[in-house]
Amino acid sequence: MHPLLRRQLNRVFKGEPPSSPELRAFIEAVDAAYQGYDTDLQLLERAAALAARETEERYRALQEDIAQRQRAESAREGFFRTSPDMVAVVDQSFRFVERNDGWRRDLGYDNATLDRVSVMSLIHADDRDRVRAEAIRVQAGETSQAFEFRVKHASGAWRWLSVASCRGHDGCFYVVGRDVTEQRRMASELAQSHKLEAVGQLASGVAHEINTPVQYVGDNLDFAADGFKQVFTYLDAAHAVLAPEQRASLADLARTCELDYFRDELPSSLKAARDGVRRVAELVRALKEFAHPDAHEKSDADVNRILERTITLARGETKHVCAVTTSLEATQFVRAHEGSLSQVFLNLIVNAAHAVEEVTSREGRAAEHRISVVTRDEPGAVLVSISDTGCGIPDAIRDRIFEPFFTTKPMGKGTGQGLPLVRRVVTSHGGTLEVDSAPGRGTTFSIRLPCEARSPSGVRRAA
Amino acid sequence: MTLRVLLVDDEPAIVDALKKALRRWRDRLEVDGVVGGRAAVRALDEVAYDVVITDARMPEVDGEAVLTFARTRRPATLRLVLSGQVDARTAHRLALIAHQFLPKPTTAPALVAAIDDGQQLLALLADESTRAAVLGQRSLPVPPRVYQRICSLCESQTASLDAVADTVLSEPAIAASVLRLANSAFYGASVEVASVAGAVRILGLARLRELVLVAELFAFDDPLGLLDTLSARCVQRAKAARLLTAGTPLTELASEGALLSEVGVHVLISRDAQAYRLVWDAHARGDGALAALERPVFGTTHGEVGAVLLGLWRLPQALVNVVRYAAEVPGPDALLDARTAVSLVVQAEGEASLGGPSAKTEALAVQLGVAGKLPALWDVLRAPSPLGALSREAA
Repeated sequence: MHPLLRRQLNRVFKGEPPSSPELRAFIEAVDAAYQGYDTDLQLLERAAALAARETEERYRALQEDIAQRQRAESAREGFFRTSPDMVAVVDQSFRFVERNDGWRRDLGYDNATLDRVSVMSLIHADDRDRVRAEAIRVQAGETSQAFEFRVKHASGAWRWLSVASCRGHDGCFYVVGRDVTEQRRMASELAQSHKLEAVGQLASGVAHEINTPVQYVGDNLDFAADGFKQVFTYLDAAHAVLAPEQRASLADLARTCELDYFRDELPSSLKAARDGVRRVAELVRALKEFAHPDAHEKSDADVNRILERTITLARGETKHVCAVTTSLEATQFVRAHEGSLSQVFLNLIVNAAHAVEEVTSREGRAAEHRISVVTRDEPGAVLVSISDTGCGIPDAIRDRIFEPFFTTKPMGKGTGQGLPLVRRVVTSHGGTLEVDSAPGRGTTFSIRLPCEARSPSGVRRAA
Repeated sequence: MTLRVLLVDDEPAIVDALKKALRRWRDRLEVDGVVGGRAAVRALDEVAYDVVITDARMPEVDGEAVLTFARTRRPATLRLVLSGQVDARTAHRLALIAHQFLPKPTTAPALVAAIDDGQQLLALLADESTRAAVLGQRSLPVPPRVYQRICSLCESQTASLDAVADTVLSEPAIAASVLRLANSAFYGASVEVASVAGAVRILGLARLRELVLVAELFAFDDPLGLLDTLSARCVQRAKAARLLTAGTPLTELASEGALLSEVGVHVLISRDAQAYRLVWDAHARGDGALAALERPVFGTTHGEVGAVLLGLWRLPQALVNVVRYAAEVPGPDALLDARTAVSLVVQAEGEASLGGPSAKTEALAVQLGVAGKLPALWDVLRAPSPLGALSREAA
């Protein structure tokens, strides 16, 4: 019997169990109910205990899971924050959902601006279609790698970004970007120098081939000039001893043969041919020296000589634009890579020609314009200034002309690499570069290159 | 007197046209033209030409081979190169075997001017065999010790240009070669370089390395064993000349002139070593100044010969004049310049062993305004010769 029931029965019946069979049956039924209840209770308790244990285990697992997620989140935060790259989640309208500080740091905008803008609005107009097409590919599940396009820096300069991206949650993009402007500049410079090297090799070979005919064409012209002089000397002498009637009979022939015309014109036409040959020779020499500076180290260089041959080379760009005047008075030498300096001067002279051309193509009057090249000794330095009377540089872009890839020239004409190269070369020579420009009046670039106290005690050889 | 000129090119049109263009000077120049190096060698073998003008790049027998043959077979022939394009190494070799380089294309008048320059220099030397000795001189002898030192300096990656310049300045023959290259049109020299430091800087280390390491550019023959003595003496002269002209723009011209003042001795030795032995012995005994003893035997002096040699090598005229007149006494109204400074040094040198300057030397120092520097000059000239230092180093 269930102990609880027994205690109740003892209290009520004082140890005298009822003998009535009905009561006994009832008591047995109650006992069974007690017993059943107990069993249920135990079951329930066991179930509760089991549930409690399970809950605890689940709780513990959840805790672990949360900790793990927190660690992952913290790692993500860490990567996000410390990545040298620009990392972001961007939505389908190309606005930032989330981004690291790289964007602010590399593009120069404050956070309020970045919160507001669509990345697309910062992308170079010429690159937007490409970017959109790439975005569609990514949405379709492909991963984009090393995809490059131009983005506007807060300063207005264009920076090249290389971007990797994949599809993220809710149609977002996960984006990792990196500024590769500098790498692109170096790569294009390397390509440029390879190109120059190839041109140099070609020029050397071609120079030899051209110089041979130039040599004998010139000599033959000299010979012809000498010959004509002799022939006419003889003709004049012969003419003088002729009888008057003989002279008269020859007069017709002389007219038919245009003898007087040849006498007047041959010397100058031979001289013009000689000048032409001389110019071909100069051009070939200039090209050879420009494209193939034989020393890769610095040596004492004569800026006047470099300028003279650069002007010869640039003649193709300048001659239809305006005159180039020179006043090359520097006598000091500078320690320089001749090849680099040649490129600097060539860039500045060609730029000057383009600046003048912009004006003359609108207004004509080429005779009023000029490009002037001046060198002068200054204490401890040589000044090289290259001026033009061209369109000038608008104030608005004055600060930007030395930025890589910045150009105002039409596609195909400017690479935006000329002036950055000028500045870099001048700086690497320990020199300074100044720009003085008045829109509509012209521009002067002044380069000061230091010369060491110890210069070769030489005098310029006469040409 | 007409000069016999041989033109050599592998391009017949050039030979033909140049011959025609030179006809204007036919009263002075008798010009033969041949096509190719092989024909040139044959022609040189048969005829004693006064001048040979050759292209550099030719198939089979090239310009260098033609000039090398000319130098041995016809040492008295003036050797010119007329070339459009040569690589650096060929340029080095040619620069040292040719008397002058003319870049192609050139003009007939420029060619004639080059021939005239050479002839004017050679006119200083009356004697045919002396002329041959000068024209045939390929390079100057260098003491092997100095050569080794400059080689290792040039091979070192850390050598500075100044250190190299200092070493070059320690040996007249190397200094002369460096100046010769820097002034050669092979390098498109647009300046006349009289200073060794300037020449070193113009050439740059890479070219100097090339120059020095092409060992056959230097001779090591020294039949009379005078090489070390002469080198040491000239280095000392250079130091003294620098002292006298310190603080003036003449310093480098004077010191370089003093350094090269006895290069002509080597030419006279190669002309007749035995005769020169007698001259030198007399000089060493104190019988007189070197130039005074040379003239009766050779009909010329090392100063004249050296000037012609350096002139043919296209060193600046001012420097050549210092060498030419180093042993001559300046006139009574001469002022201090590179030439007179070196003359004073040479004059004083002979008296250094006597303890003090003679009245004549003192008077000259006063005339040049450098009397105050005499004691210091004496210190330089009486200092133990740099040769001693060299021997110690070798030991």
